[in-house]
Amino acid sequence: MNGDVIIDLKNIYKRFYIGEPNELEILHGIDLTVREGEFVSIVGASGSGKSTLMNIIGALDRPTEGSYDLNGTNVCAAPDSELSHIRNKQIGFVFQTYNLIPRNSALKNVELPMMYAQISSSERKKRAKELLSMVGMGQRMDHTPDELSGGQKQRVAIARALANDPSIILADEPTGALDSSTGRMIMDLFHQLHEEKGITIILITHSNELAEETERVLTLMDGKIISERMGCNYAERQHTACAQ
Amino acid sequence: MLKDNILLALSELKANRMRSLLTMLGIVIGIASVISIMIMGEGMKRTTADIIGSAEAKQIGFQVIQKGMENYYDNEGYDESLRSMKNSDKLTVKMFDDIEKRYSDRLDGISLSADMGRMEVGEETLSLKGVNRCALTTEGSIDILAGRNITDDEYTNGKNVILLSDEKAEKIFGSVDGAVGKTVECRKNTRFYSYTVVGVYHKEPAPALKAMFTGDTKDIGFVPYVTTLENGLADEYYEWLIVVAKESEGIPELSREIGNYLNNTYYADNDAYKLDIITYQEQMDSITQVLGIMKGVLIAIAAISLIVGGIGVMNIMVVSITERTREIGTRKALGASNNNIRVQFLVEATIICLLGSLFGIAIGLLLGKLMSLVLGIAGGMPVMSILISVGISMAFGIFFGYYPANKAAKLNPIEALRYE
Repeated sequence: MNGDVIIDLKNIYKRFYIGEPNELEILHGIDLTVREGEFVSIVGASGSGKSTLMNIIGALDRPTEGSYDLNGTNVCAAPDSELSHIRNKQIGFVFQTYNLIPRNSALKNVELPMMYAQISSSERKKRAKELLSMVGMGQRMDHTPDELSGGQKQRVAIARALANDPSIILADEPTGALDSSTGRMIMDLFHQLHEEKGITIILITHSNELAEETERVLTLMDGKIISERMGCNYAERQHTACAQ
Repeated sequence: MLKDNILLALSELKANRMRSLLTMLGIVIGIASVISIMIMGEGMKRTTADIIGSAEAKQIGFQVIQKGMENYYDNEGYDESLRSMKNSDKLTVKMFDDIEKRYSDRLDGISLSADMGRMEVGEETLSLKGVNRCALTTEGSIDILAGRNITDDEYTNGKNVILLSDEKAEKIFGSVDGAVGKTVECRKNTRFYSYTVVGVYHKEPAPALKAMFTGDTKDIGFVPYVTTLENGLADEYYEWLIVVAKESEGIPELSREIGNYLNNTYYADNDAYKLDIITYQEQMDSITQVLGIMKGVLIAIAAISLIVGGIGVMNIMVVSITERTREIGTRKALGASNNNIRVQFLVEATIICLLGSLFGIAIGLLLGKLMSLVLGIAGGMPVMSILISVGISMAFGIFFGYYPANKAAKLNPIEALRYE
C-alpha cells in the first residue's frame, strides 16, 4: 500500500567538534528509508541520538558523512538557502513545545509557512482556514496561542505543519507536554491524517506505548538503529479500522 | 511579503508599546530639534531678507569716533586720555549740504532728525521728533489713516504741523478722524509749542527680532525738521549722520566712498576724531553670521541626539532578538531563509525610526511655530528638512538595524529552537 521512497538515508555519520580533542560521534552509520504514506516511529532513550537524527531528517543540519536523498533532492549538497526551501516545502515540523509564534492568531500561525512560500494573502488565508477546520480548530482561528490550551496549540501546530502540503510530517515528542488524554487525542489526529489523507509521518518519541501504534518502529541506541519491526498495536488498529 | 513584514513589525511594536515609545524617544527628540531649528533658521533668513529689502538697508550711518578706535564694537574702547569732543569735531549742516550735492545722483537724501524729547500735552505725554522727508522714511513704513502726510512746502518752510500716531490721536482727541485740523499744545519745561495736526498715521509694531535692529518707534509725533530748528530744539552739530541711498545694491562701496570723502576733506587734520561708517547691511551680515554659527552648533547637538537615539534602537533590537530567539528558530524551521529573517528585523528597526521621525516632525513643527511666534519671525514650512528627516531616519533604521538583524539571520536554527 505504501508508495515511492521519500527519505533515503545511507550510512549517516554525525560528529561534533571535529578535529578537536573532544570530538564526538553521535550517529554511527544510520541507514533509513521511508516510503510515501508510512507512519514510522523512532524511539530511544535520551542521549541515543534521536534529536540529532531528527535535525538531519528535518534538513536543519547536515550529516558529517553519508548521503541523504529527500524526495529526489540531495540534502547534503544543498546550500543554506536551499535547505530553507526544503524545510518550507517538504517538511512539516511538530514540536513538543508547539513553538507557535506568540501574539499571532492561530490563523496567522498556519499562514506563516505559506507566507515564506510566497503564496498570495487571500489564498493562504483560505487554505489556513481549511486546515484549521480539518484539525478541529475552526472555531478558534482568531485566538492567540496564550488563549489556547496545550492540546489546542498542538492542533494549530499540526495544521501549520500541513500548510505547504509537505512530503513528511516530522513530529518530535508531540505529546510530551500534554496530559495523557490530550496526548491521546493528538495521536488519534495523527492516525486520522495518516489513514484518511495518506500523510507520511515520522514520530520521534521515547514512549514505547505510542511507538507501538505505528506501522514501523525503529529503535535507536547509542547512535545506531538496533531494531526495526512493525508496531505491536498497529495491526490491531488496522484490524479495528477494517472491522468498522 | 513587505506588507506582511510591516504589519508584523507594527504588531510587535504595539505589543511592547511602552518599550517602543521609549526607544523612539531619542529619534523623536533628535528630529524635533532639527525641524524646529530649521524653521527658526528659515524665519531668521526671511527676516534678514526682509530687512535687507526694506528702507533700512539703504541707510548708511556715519558716526564721529576717536581716532584709533576703529574697532569700536570689539573693544568697546574709549580712550580716556584723549581730549573730549568739541563742536568743531562734529558734523555740521554745511557738510550735509556738501555730500548731498556731491552724491545727489546716488543718494535719495540725508536723513535729518532731531529728538525733541517728551512733551506734556494736557494729561498725556508725547515724544516728538523733528524729521525731514528722508528721515521719515528711515523710521519705517507708516500708513496715513486720516488727513495727509507733511508736504514739501511744510518741510522746507518749517510750518508748525504735526503727524500724530493713531494711538496718541485717540488719547488726546478721542478719535483718529477728529484729530485732523486740531492743534496740539505741547509743553516742555516752561515753553509751549503748538502744532496743527495734518495727519494721523499707523505703524505696525516691529516684530521682536526686527526691533532689535531698528528700534520700535510707533508712538512718536513727527514735525518738520526745519520747524524744530526754528523752535531751537535741534542742535547745529551732530555726532552722527544717516544718509539714504537710492538703491540697496552697492551700499558697502558707496558708504566707503562717502566715508573716505568726509574723512579726507574734514577730518584729515583732526588730531583726535574721525568718522566711522555703519551700515545695516554690514550689521545684519555679522548678526547673520553669528546666527549661522549658532544654528550649526544646535544642529550638531541635535545630530548627536539622533545618533544616540539610533544606538538606542540598535540596543533594543538586540534585546528583542535575544528574547525572540525561539521564534526565530521556529521561523527558520518553517522555511524562513536568512534573508527573510534579516528583512523582518530591518523593517522593524526602520519602522521604529520612521514612526519616531514622524512624531519628531510633528513636535518639531509645533515647537518651531511656537518659537517663531515668540520671536515674531515668519517661520516657514521646512519641506526639504522634513523630507530629509524622513530619509535620514529610514537610513538610520537600516544602518542601526543591520547589525541586530544580521545577528538574527545568522542564528543556528537548532540552537535557536532549543533556546530557553
